[in-house]
Amino acid sequence: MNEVTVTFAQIFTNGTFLAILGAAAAVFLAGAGSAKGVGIAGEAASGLIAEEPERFGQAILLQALPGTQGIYGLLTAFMILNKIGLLSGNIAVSSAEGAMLLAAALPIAFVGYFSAIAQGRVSASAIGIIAKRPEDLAKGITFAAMVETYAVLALLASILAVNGITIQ
Amino acid sequence: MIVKMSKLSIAGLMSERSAVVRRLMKIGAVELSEVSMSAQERERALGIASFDNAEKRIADIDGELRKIQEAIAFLTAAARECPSASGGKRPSAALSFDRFVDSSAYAGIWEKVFEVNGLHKRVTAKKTELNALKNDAAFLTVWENLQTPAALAGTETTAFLTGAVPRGAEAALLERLGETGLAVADTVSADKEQTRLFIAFHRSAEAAVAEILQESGFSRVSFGGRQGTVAENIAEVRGKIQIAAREIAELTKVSAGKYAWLPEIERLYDYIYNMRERRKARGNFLKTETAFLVGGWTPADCAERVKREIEGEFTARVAVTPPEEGEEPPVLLRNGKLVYPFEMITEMYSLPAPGGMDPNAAMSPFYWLFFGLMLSDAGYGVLLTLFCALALWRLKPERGAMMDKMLKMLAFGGVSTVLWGAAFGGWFGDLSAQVFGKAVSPLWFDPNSDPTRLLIWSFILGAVHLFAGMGLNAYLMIRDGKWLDALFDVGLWYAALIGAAMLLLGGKFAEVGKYTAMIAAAGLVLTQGRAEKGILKKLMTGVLSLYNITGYISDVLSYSRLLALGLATGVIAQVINQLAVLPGGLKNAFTVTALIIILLGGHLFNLAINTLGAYVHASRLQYVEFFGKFYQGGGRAFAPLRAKLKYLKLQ
Repeated sequence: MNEVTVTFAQIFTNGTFLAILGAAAAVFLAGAGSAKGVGIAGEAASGLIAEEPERFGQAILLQALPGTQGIYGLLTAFMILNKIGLLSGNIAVSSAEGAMLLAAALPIAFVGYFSAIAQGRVSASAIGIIAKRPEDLAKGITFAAMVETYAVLALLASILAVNGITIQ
Repeated sequence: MIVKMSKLSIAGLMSERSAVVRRLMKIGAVELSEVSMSAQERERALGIASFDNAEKRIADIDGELRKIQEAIAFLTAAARECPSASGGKRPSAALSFDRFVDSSAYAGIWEKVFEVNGLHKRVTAKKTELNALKNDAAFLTVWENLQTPAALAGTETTAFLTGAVPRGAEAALLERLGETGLAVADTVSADKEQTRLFIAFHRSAEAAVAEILQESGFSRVSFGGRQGTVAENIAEVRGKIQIAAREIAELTKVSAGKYAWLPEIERLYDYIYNMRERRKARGNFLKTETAFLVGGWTPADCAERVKREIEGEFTARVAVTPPEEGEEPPVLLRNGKLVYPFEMITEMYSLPAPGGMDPNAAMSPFYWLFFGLMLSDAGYGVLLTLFCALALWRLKPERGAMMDKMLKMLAFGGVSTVLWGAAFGGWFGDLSAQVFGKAVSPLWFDPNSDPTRLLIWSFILGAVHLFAGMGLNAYLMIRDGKWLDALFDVGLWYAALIGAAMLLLGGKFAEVGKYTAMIAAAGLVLTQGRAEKGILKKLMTGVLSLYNITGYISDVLSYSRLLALGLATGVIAQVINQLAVLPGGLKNAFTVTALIIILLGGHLFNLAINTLGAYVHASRLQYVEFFGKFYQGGGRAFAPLRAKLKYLKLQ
């Protein structure tokens, strides 16, 4: 059997690898952030539900909010994979193109990670609001949505960048 | 529109008070409050009159409500366990209000509640007994193989012991007992924690055996004076379990047979609950032995009717006055069919201040547009509208209730979603292209291939929204006679922003835009510090005010979420479609089944998560960007005394 040796340098200059790395980073960073954020909010929600089970509907709404970053990450990953034709089996990406796609994934990867955790905390404290004043749910949601703005902006930057890169 | 409120004060006879309160509840358009008086007047009034202290009675009523709820819950559970005996639920007929508040209509229902709760108590006691028996059975079962009678402690010369040692200790124990020559042991049963032993020994070896047992961690088990063998006892306990279970089943059946009482008991609940509401309202009555005086609010167009009805029927006087300066009437909104569901968005933020403006008419078209743009898939729009219409039809929520507004708002939002989705060619993402190989062409353009174009449109829509908000602010200032403020604070910013936009766009208007913006900026520097004292401070504040341009820029940028969330829906829908055709698309029955399952689950998930996103972010754009420009909240909702029904329907 002929063994083909591939050096690290070759891997890290492989355009396809770099593009997939970008897609992976978008998913795992934004997703990890969302997992943490939803977890934080979920703990607070469970505490509330133990006392007042009828607030479940409101609590689940707040818990879902930090979950969007993970979806944004997946979305960006999908756009990258689509761009390089990985899903249609037609891959030919130069190193420079791969590096550009990796860079394009960074906004949603990092902002997604940090904003989801921060949003999880805000959601958790918003659950504190509805524990005392259920009629003020919208205010809590608004506070959480303020955080999400930056994830949306990062998503937009990533989308526009991925869209703007042309693969030869 | 904020409904104009009138202030009421009603004076009448104590003997008619209950009837008056009942009538006000029937009218359902009066919020009772203490009659308004100055501190001095109040002190004088309290010298000759007093307020009701209804708290004790309300606490009693709460206790009664709990009893009724217990009966309702028990009957419902019993009917679920034993549906054949329940005979199904009989619908309760709609009742007239007068009949509803007539106490004689409830004769005999309390007895039924007590009987049901009595049954509940008996079932609970039987269930406790059953649990104890089951515990006994579990305990005895592990000793089933013990041959000697449970109570037998030995003979004249030998002693019997039963007990358990930790698993693994029994071998050494048996060996040591054997060494004494005067003791035998038999394993009765064993599990992974314990080994249970029967030990017989000669009484002369008692001390030696006791020592061995103690050292091996033996713990005695006694059967608490049970007669006969363990196996006999088990049979007896099992018999008792059967009897208890049968008794519970019978009691449950009897209880389920009382299910026909449920409508009556529910009616009683509503009656007592509304009695509580009336009691609470009574706390506002200033009363003497013979007369009462109470204040209240009612929509101005209802005031005459209230006056006529109360004065016509009772020995009472009703004075209707407009609210006095500085008084804050409660706020009631009234809007047309299309706008009123969106009141929910404003209500969740804060009701307008009584002298303020109802923002709903201006807000709802934007909310509608933005919601649809963010969900932006025609297929999802159709589904959402259908779901909401179906829910409205099935649940029939009361008009004005939260559920009613929300469902209608989402149904309208669904229509907007269909329009935007058709414009962008999104019908469940690219479902048609993936499955049937035929793409639906967009009526306008496909934002996936040209996101920048939609981004620009998002900013344009955002700018229109912001300008509308600023315009409303100007309107409010002009309404209050401050037209110069409107010119300086809104007019100049309009000019500056429009000028800057023209400059940025370039072309032949760039020059015009440049000078417009410069003149407006100069105007802002000169006017924005007008509240300050001293020329230097005025100028500084004026210059610093130009920094607000960053606020406007970030406001506009915020509308990029319209594009981002719209694209998110479409792209996730595409992912779902691609996943769904992976097994093979329309090849055979198996792949078609997989296709349908993935499509159903995936698109429903996407619809749910993106509807939440569209709702949250469309709200945010109103709360932060739009309301921030002009809106003054802080109003208190109008809460008239009216029948609040959980189970009944009134005619």
